[in-house]
Amino acid sequence: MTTSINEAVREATQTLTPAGTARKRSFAAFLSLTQYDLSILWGSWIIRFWFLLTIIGAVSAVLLARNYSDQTSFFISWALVLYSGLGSFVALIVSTSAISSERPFLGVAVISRGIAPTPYLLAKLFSRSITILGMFLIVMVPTMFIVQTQGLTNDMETSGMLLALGYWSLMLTVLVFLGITFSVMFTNTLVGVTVLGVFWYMGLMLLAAAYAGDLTADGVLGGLPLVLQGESRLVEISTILIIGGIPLLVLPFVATRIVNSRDM
Amino acid sequence: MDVVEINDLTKIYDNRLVALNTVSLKLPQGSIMGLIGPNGAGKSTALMLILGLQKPTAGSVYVFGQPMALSSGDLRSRIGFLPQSGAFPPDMSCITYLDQIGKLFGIPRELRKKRLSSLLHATDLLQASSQRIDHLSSGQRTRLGIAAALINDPDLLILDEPTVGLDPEGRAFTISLISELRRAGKTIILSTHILPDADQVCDYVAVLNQGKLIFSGPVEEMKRIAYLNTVDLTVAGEGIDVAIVAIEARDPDTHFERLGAETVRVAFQQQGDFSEPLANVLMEFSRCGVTLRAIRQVGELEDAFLKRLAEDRLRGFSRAIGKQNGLAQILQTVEAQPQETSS
Repeated sequence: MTTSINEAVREATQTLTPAGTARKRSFAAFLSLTQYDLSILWGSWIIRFWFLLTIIGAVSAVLLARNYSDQTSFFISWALVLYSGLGSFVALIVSTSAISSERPFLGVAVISRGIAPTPYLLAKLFSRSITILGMFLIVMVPTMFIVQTQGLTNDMETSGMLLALGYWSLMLTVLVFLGITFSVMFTNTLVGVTVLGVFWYMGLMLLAAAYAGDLTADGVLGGLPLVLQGESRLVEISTILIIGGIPLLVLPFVATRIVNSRDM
Repeated sequence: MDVVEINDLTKIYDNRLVALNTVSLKLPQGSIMGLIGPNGAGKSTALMLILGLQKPTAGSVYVFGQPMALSSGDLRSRIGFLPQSGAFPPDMSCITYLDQIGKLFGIPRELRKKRLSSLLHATDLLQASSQRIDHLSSGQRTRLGIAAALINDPDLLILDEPTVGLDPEGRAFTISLISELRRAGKTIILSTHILPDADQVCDYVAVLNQGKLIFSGPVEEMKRIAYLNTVDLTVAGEGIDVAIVAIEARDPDTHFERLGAETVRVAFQQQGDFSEPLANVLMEFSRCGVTLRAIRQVGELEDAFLKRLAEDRLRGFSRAIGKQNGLAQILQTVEAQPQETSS
C-alpha cells in the first residue's frame, strides 16, 4: 500500500507544469468563480421562485393587455414600477449576501487557492449583475414587445421601449453594485440588507415624489409613459446615464479597496 | 534559500487579543517545519499571516523571497493549503471539488484530468471519487483536503492539523503521505498539537505559546537542550522512595521526578558523560531492593515541548512576581519619602 502511495505521490508531484502567466491564471480564476457563482445562483430557491413569479406576471400582463382599454405606455409603466419595487428586493438580497455569506470560509476556501481578492470581487459583480439583468430582460423584453403588438391602444415606440429597458437595467445594475459593496462593508448579511434596503426604498420614494405630477396613480408614474412613447429629451437621457454611470465606475474601486484592507 | 522568512511578526486583533508577539523564523527549502503549541498559541494566526489572508499589525512575511499580502494571489498560487476545518462544499463530489479547485488555479482541462486521477490515486480516494463530500469519513476528508492542497503542485505546503480526528490507520497514512511529499522535495509547514506526528516527520520545530515563539530550530536540538543527561527508569519494588531520598542526600546534582508508580525521571547536572552518577543510582536502587525493568533516554518531542512550555510559564510567572515585587518596592520607597509637596 505504502509503495503505491509513494509512486502515486511521485507521479502527482511531477506532472504539472506552470499554468500560464499570472494574467492568464487570474482570468481563469475569474471565469471559474463566475461560472461557479452562476451555478449557485441558478440553484437557489429565491432566484427560481422570483423567475417563476415574473413569468407568471408577464403572461398575466400579456393576457390583460389584450382587454385593457388604456394606453399601453401606462400599462407597461405600471409593470416597470412594480418590477422596480419587488425586483429591487430580490436584487438587494442576491447582491448584499454575495460576499458576506461566504466570509466565514472565504479566506481558507477561496482566496488561499492562488486568488487575489480583486478577481473574486469582479466575478461576484459580473455573475450577480448578469443574473439580475438576465432575469429582468428575459421576461420584460418579450412582454413589452408582445404588449406593443397585442395591446388595444398602443402608443409605445420601439426606441422608447429600449430606452426604458436601458434605464431599468442601469438601475438594477447600480443596485447590484451597491449591494456587493455593502456585502463587503457589512460582515452580517441581515444588517447589510436592512441598511441598503432603507436607503434604496427611501431613495425610490423620494424620486417618485419628485417626479410625480400630482398624487394620483397616473401622476406617480411621472414621465415614464413619455419615455415609452419615445418622447425623451437628450438632456434627460444623458443626465440619467451620468447619474447611473458614476456609481458603476466608482463602486468597484470602493469595494476592492475595502476587501483588500480587511482580514480574511 | 529560505522559502518563508518571518521578521518580528505581530498580530493584534481588534479585540486587543495579542495573537502573535514579535515572532521571527525562517524555513529552508525542502524541509518540514512543525508549528507546535497548545490551543490558542497563535498557530492558525501564523498560518493565516504566511498565506497573506490576514494583515500583520507589525513585522513582515516573505514567501519565496517576496513580501506576502492579501493581493499576492500569484505567490499563493505556489502554495498548497490544507485548512483545519476543511471548508468543503458538502454537496459536491470529490472529483467535482478537486476539479473546481484546479480551475481556481487556472490549470488547463487536460492537465487537470491527469492530476485529478494521480491525486485521487495518491490519496487513496479513487473509489470514493464520485461520493458526496458529506458522505466521506473524516480520514477521507483530510485526504481530500491534502489532494486539493497538492493540485497546483505547490512549492510550499501548509497543513493545519492534518491528523486531528483520524483513526490510527488514517494518521499513519497521512504521516506516510507527508514523508513522501518531503522526499518529493516539498517544503512543508505542519501545524499540529499531536507531537508524536511532528516528531516523526519534522526537521525543524517552532514552538508557540500565548503568541510568543519560545523555541525555533532543529527538532534534535530542541530535544537535546530540553533533556540533556536525563533518563526515565521503569522500576519496581518497595524501596523506591527510600533509594531516592538516600541518593538526593548524597548527590545534590542528581534530581528525581516521579512520573508514575513505576517510572522515575532522573536528571544529572553533570555535563558530558553521566555513566558514573547513573551507575551510583542503579546501585542504590539495587541495594534498596528495587528492580530495574527499563531505561529510556528522554528524547521524545512531546517531553521537550512540555518542558519548554513549563519553563516558559515559570518565566512568565516569575516576571509577574518580579513586577509585583518591583511595584511594592516603588510603593514602599514613595511612602518612605518625606511628604515635601503635601504642605
